[in-house]
Amino acid sequence: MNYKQDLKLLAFMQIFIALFMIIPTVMAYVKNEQLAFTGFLYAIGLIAIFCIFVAILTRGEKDPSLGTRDGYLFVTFTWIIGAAVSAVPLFVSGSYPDYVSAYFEVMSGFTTTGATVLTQIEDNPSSILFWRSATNWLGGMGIVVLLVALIPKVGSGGNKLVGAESVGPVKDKLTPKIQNTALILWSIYVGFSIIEAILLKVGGLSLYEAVTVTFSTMAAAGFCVKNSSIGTFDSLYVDIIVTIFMLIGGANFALYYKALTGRLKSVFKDGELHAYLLIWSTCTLIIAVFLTSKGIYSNFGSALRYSAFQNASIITTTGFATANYVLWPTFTQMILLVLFFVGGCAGSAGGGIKVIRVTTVIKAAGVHIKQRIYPNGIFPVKVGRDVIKDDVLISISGFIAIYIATGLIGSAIAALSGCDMMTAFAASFLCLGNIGIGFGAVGPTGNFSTFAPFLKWMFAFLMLVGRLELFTVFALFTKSFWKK
Amino acid sequence: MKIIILGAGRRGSRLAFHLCKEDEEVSFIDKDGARLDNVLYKFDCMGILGNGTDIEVLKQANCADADVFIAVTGNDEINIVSCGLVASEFPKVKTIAAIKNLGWSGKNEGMGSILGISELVNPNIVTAKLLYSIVKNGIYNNIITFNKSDLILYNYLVEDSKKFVSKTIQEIRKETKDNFVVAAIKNNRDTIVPNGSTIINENDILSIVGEPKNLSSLMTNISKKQKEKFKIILVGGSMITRFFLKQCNSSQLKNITLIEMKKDICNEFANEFPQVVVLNADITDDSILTDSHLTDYDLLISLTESDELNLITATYSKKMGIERSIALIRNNINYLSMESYLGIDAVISTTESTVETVLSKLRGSNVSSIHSILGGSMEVYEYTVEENTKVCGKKLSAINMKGKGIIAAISTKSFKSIIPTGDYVLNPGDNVLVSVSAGSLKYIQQLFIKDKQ
Repeated sequence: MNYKQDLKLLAFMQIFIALFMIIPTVMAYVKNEQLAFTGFLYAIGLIAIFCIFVAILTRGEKDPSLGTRDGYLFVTFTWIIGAAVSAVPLFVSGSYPDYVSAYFEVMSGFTTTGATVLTQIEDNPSSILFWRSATNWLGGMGIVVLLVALIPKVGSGGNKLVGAESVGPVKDKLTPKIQNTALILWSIYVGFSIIEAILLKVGGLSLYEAVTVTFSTMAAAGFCVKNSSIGTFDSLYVDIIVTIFMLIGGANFALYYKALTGRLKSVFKDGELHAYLLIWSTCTLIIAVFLTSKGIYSNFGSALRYSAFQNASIITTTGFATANYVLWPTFTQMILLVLFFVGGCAGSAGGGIKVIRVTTVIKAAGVHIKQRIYPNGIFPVKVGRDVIKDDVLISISGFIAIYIATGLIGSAIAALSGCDMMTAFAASFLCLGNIGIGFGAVGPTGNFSTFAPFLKWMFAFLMLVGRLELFTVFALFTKSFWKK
Repeated sequence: MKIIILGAGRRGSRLAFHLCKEDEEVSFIDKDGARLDNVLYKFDCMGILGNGTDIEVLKQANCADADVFIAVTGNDEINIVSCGLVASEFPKVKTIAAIKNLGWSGKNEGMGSILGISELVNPNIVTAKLLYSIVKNGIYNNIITFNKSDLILYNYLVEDSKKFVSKTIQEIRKETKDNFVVAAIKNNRDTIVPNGSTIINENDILSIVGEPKNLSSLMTNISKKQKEKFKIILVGGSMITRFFLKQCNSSQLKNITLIEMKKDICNEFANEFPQVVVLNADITDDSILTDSHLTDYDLLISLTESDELNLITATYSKKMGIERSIALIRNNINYLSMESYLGIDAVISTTESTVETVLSKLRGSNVSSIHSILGGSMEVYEYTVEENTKVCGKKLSAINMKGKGIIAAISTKSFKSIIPTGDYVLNPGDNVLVSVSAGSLKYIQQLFIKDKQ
């Protein structure tokens, strides 16, 4: 492993974060939010000290050769340290009772979880709330991907960095050079964000609201500057826009590139996209019909509106809410719970297990049944037009097993807080899946403020593990990783 | 440049190794997913799974936008068909195909394109050429020769001899009074482009450019005069053997003995090269060298199909008293570094010579050869200075190489070789040897290559 090179990149990463921090710093200054302003200065100062320290330590280093292990190490530490620094302004601003709450909040931001420890949101300094949403946006497409896009000469090392951060079992490269691929992904991401912000502004939101909501939608993250999330705006127009852009954020960004370069055919034939839209629309319809029949909503139209929004919010792992679905009939809640175990698409901004993995294991199970009937038959596992290779199949099964095991262990530990079973279960899985809202006490109106500090650390860890798709972080805990 | 390489095998990945260092955009096409995964892991490139003779796959690889298409699969037919397809569907793309079974006579040099394929590279011919030039220039350990200049590049390991250690290059040049340029230095950490005040340490490897006769003090082991009658044993009757023999003149042929174990191949060679003594024998036979009185020969070149056999035969022959030996490596490029351990004088590789030839075809018309040295960390370019380039008409001292390269030597139009000083002015037609560290090729290249407009 090339520790010095990793450190150097880590310093670069912090500079990126500091640059983004300038916007809320200026906001804090203009709006005279004294404590928040000092907080941001502290954070930028810390980054400056860290960078000077690294610059001295890595003087004269040049060889930028990064291995797979460097990728894992660098990406994991980027997120841990990035969150640690970004939490400083939140803590100093006085909005959070202790540092761990601030850390939880920022990790929830970067990992696009969107779970909060704040009981009241609107009372807090606007610069702090802006920064919270900005972390959502940075984490959505990935800060390391952004680094690779903007800093040349990471070379084939960049491949490993992007591989360690981006989501999905198989990483698509759009262009021969990883730098261009990263640049394209971020450009598409920025492009959609601008469109959404404009559409929301047109819909009557203030610029501040439009931008922060956009940050959290495109990243499939879920922080909102309002107490009752998107429901606050109570506008059909906003609901529709946000629903559409949540779905955009939860789909594979490689598809947009293919569509833009005129390869529409392969987009329409994408197996994962089909499954993703099919699952979402089916669940939306079932819930809408059920809600109407139970008389929860007066007409099918409004039932469809709220059902579509909540379903999109959960499947893309965004975690916005326009209705308190915890009060809905248990049947509809169960369906939303199933979506907890689906998540967004590979190569998206969403979290969770990912549609492609779920589809693959279901197809593999089907193949297994056929295999029992025809012991000598050869049945490839196909998703869309692609045949899933055996090694990918193994890694997918392993992923799902470890995912569920991690979530269950997390639930058990969360239960130490004395909360009810549903809350413990939902809290653990909503963090691991980067969803942000769940059931019980952590439902759409709930928050994490009641959990003890050590549980907040654990939830922050779960969020990180979930965002980096388990293996990147867990690899660091194996003996063989540290072997020379 | 956007480059598509068909075939992610040894040659493909060696090409990518060089091209990715130069920041080119490389895409691979291969029908073997595991091989694609391998190159994708190693290099910053893209992979397309599929058959290179399928037009859909070629379209998917974005051939329409590519600058160069290189076909280096192990199969001639696939290389020809795919290049032909690209040439007819995307006529703007330059196509290069590696074709083994081309030009039985060895005389299709400069034949131009066939089937629309812009460049054909025959691995056997380029290897045989390299082999011949090594033999012609004396078999120096680790030597590189150039197309338009009679200078050589020689890699010299600084051992504990007090002669050089802890001295600057300028001091050494004064002391030895030899005329040479140190083009690159590899120490145990990395490879550097030296200047006059660079200090030499023990175990450094110096890449030295100069005229062979002027390097005597450095090359003690090669100062022995080439004998009038230079007797060579060739082991294995392969295509490379044929192309090698084709280049020899009749007096050279008379001093060559070929050992081949298959009778019919022996017959073929005996018919085609009557001056050569052809022995039908197995080189692994313990008494073949002594029985046929071959131990007083000057050079053994092992060219069989087996890499291991070649290395072992070359090592063994030196034990038996043959003065020099050369081994051919066809498959395992890792063996290239074995020469110093096994006491072999030179190891040549079909893969490396093919790759160098293909790369030189990508460099534009004024590059006559390129060689990678010191494990690929440096490259030596042979440029012809053309008018309207940035360096033309300039004094050497006025050319800013940013410490990334050295103009090691110049040959004028009249084939006079010069070890340059800072006052030399580059004229059009001068042939320049430039050593460049692999990461900085772009910068150096734009000095010597004309703008495309």
